Amino acid sequence: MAYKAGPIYPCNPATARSESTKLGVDPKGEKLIYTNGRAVIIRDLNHTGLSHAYTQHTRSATVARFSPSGYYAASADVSGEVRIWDVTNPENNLKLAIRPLSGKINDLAWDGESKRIIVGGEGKDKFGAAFFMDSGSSCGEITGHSKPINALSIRHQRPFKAISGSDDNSIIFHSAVPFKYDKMINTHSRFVRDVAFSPNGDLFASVASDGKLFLYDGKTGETKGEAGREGGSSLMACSWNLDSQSIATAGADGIVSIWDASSLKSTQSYTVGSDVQSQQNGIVYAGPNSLVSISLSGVLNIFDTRESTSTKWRTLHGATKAITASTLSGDTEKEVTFYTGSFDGSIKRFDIGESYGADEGRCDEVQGTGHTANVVAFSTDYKGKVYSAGWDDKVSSIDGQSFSSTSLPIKAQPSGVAATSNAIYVATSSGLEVHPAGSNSTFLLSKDAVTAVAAHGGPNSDSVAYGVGKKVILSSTSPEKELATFEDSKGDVLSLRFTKDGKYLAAGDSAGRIILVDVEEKEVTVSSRWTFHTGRIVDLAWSKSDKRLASVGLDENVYIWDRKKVAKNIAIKNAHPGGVTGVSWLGDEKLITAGSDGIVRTWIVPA
Amino acid sequence: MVSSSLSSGVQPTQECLEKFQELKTGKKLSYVVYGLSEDKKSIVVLKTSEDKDFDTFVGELPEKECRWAVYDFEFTLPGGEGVRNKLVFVVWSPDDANVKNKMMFASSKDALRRRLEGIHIEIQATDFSEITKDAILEKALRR
Repeated sequence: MAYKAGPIYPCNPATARSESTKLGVDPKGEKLIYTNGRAVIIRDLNHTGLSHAYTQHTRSATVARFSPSGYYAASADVSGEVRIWDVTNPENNLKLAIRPLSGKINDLAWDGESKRIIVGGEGKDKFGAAFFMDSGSSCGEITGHSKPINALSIRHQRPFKAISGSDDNSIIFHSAVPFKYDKMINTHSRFVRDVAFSPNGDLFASVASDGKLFLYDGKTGETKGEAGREGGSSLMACSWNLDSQSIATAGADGIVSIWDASSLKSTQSYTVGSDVQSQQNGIVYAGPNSLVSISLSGVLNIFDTRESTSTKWRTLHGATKAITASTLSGDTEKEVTFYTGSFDGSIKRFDIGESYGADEGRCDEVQGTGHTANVVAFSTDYKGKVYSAGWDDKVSSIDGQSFSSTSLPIKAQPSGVAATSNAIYVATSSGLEVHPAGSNSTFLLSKDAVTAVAAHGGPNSDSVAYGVGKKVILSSTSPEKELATFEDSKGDVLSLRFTKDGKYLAAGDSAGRIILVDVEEKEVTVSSRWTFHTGRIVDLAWSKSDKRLASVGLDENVYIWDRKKVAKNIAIKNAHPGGVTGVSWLGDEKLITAGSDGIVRTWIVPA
Repeated sequence: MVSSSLSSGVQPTQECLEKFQELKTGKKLSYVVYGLSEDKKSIVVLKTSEDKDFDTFVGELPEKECRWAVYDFEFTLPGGEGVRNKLVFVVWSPDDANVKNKMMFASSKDALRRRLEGIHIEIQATDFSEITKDAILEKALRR
């Protein structure tokens, strides 16, 4: 077979300020389910490499839940579409696709028999709907609210009941099945953020932006007690422990608290932080002793509730926004680091390689001050140092796990960066800046808007290739001389890559064409054969032996070209929804790609 | 920061939704009239009735005060195809009512209206000539 998909290293859940992030967990407590962009991610809490992404939604997905039986998952998106699909096989066969609401769906709940689903959100004339999961036909109505519904829950025991919490500060208690309005509960004075029945059905809870947690009788809806301070910080989410004796809450003050259900006193709490990025937006119990919460920054916190110390816990990282650039750094194939940068300036690193064993794919933040705006490009100088260029008009360098304290300021908006032992070359909208190593002076090699740059280091002089509009210009640095210009590209040159020996140069453009230049002969050897991409090329990478070239672009495809057999190629179609933005080879047969979906994917492409 | 600038913060009571459900499903109640409570802080049920007569219903609407109402409108399809019932939401805002009253009603309307699912027709009337059987019939037959 031409290629095989390897493990994926997923993005973290999408978060937004002052909005709850819904986290779901499978009945066995092993896997987390959440959404980010168009993807629904099923993430194994203990093995990073065993994660799975479902990308069939055409609009941004908002919530996903496993069925109580564990066989299906239901996910909903901003257009009101709900997709119910099989989780037991990797093809995720679709069971039902339906649009019960005409607007964003904020929450979704399964009934105890895995037969019915209720959704809540904002529609044109209604805020909730109830339907059967196999036929899609209605099984009642979820009515009574005057503002969008934020959360729903269904009692799994008879008599069946349902609750919905909304921005209108009220909770509606519904009888089920068929779902019918029963009564309105007005205990909260601010937006109701989350509601949940206890697993045994005896009680249900609600948390709201007024900082209060209320408990009610599960059968009658009668208020049983309240906790929390008046005027306290918003409680964004709640989750019952499996034994129904305690409930955990996630607060906008950055504190995760566990409350005892009978005494309504806080028995344990974890302070994640007091800054805005530490605001807790979602929470779920994964096992009797395992509590998972998500911070606004996108970091997943996994607390072991048996441990009495509440200052250290496990964290799971991943990209949270679309990845705009990436690179691989490392000498041996067994232990490398893959860096990804996003449009908000965040950079994450992934440990990849056999020597990491079961921990392969572990993601972490790069410590220190990085970029504050779009990261456009990376470059490695093969000595272990990684350079990143961003739209905050600077080039930062990363040494292993953290940013260096110094950064290089650049005079205009960068679009590419290339580093050799002699200098750092930055392609900017006002020219090609050259920053020689060990010197503070910079000079311009070209004054035109440069769209891409690549450099091949030599002992004294470097060969530099840069793109100006549709032209590829090849230069040497000392002596400073323009060696050749190639005009075979049909669009603006967006990506350039030399082979390790500097003998060949590949150039990808905005029209999807890749040209191959023989540097010594100074001629274009492949001009119109490598034109299978239907959109702009975003990144190129040569395999270890320089025999194969991988290209990725906005058309969501990855192509692998062979320098010796120019007529053939291997295509990986629709690798990342939204576009593929980065590619690197690990050896000669393993590919690592990153895309606008925030996911890092690996592929095996046998030679 | 509690609610949007368009709504007044006034909320309907339990009874409002209960009577609506009764009218919708029970098929006994013919109309429910809503208004503001004495202290103007909530929306309350002012009258319910099983009387099907349209003129009796219109008679419940005062000349100088606003009201909201839900009326179970019964009509025959043209061509003698049968009798149908549709729920009508009436926003009664007479020209002779004082401005303060009209403002309260206009800004509180959504808090009640959005909670009532299953309404087919909405009528806004500012005087008795706008709330005739014909006007409602025209809207009922349109869809």
